[in-house]
Amino acid sequence: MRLAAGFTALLLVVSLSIVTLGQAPPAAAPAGQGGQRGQAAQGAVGQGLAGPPGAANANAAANNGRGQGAAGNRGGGNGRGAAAGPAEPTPRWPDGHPRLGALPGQKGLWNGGGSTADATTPYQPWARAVSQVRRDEAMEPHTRCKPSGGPRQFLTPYGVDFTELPELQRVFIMDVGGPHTFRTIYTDGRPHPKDLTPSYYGHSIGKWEGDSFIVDTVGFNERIWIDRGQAPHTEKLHLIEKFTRTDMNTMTYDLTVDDPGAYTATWTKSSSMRFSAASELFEYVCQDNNYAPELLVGTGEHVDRISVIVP
Amino acid sequence: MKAVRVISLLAIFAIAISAFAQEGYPLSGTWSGDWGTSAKEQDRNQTTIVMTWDGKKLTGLVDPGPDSATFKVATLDSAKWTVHLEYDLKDKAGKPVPFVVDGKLENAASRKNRRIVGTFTHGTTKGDFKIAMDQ
Repeated sequence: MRLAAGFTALLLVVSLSIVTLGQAPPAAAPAGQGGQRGQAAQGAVGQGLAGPPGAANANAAANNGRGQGAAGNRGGGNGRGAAAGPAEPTPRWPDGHPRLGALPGQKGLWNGGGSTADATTPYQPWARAVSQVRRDEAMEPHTRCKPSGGPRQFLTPYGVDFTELPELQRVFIMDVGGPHTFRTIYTDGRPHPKDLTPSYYGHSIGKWEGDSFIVDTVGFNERIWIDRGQAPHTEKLHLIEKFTRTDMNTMTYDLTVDDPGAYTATWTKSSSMRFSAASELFEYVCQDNNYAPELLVGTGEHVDRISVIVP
Repeated sequence: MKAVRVISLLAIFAIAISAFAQEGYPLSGTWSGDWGTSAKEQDRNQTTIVMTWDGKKLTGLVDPGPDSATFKVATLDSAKWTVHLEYDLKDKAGKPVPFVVDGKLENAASRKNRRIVGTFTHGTTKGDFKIAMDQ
């Protein structure tokens, strides 16, 4: 009897251990909806944030894992609700051009900035129709952990990091969300290759024009959305992105979309990113507990869009 | 055990197929299916069509190989998701005969089960036509 009870207890302990190791808790689910948003909300309420709803707050809470909330995207503070005030000036490199990322020894990620097409966009008829279907069905590749190029890269709830490596003449834009990957922007003056194999992020080259960093990208494949679905694209897509850090906490993002396969004319869109000084890259595995496979090979036919944020 | 392996392979295959879903112009890509005058196997004709969108015009190569054909007319009405295709296919005597397809594009912007279902006319012969996008 004693042996049986001991064996049962042992089985219970082993079972619990397996569950603990094999399953992430709900708060860590990649959908970015339940637990993380709940944590973010708690932190936000406690600190009286001035940041935008959803993204930045979720980012901060998810990042520190303690629901402390963000420093706001305005204060550039220490992650404990620094008072919003005049932003510090644009940080600069010794050669004078703005720094795009965090300062040495400090944290900081960018949020926002992915606004794209709207009713005024010069869609071709098919692209307008596809855009509408996408909004209705919301079967976004990003939810299945696809690398998401162009402006979609900035639309994760966890922010992105700009890492400049002047000695290598490259800039990396690193994602937390999605497949936890990065985009490389070459700043060594090279042109685009002539025979590109289309890829998720395309081929990016960058240069400075005054205080603006201009990124020219071609070579996208058609397996992704470049935003939340508003702007269908083809392999003819040519993006020009202009990043201008106007102060410590603000970056304007000017997007020019040239895709004769989907639009009748080139179009532009401007938006703004904000710096979350309390945040930094953290490990996030989109594939972990991702329910999209059920949508891919199972019977699921829709994505839960209760949340405004898809990772 | 063998069944498990087969199921595993099928699952991997299905995921791999889905991984290459085409999100751009809804008709761009390779399609395969069949057409015929009845559901009987002997009345079905397998077909493969490669469609390309250049931003203004939809072109297509039908049944790549010695008896291939190219689109003469190809239109997509995205308001109704209807597709109209015209090309020549050889009849039993080897003579090119106009082949006209009128179909409906299903799941136009979805990654799953995108297909064209409709009817064909080949000279005086009529029947059903259905092709699905190879992901």
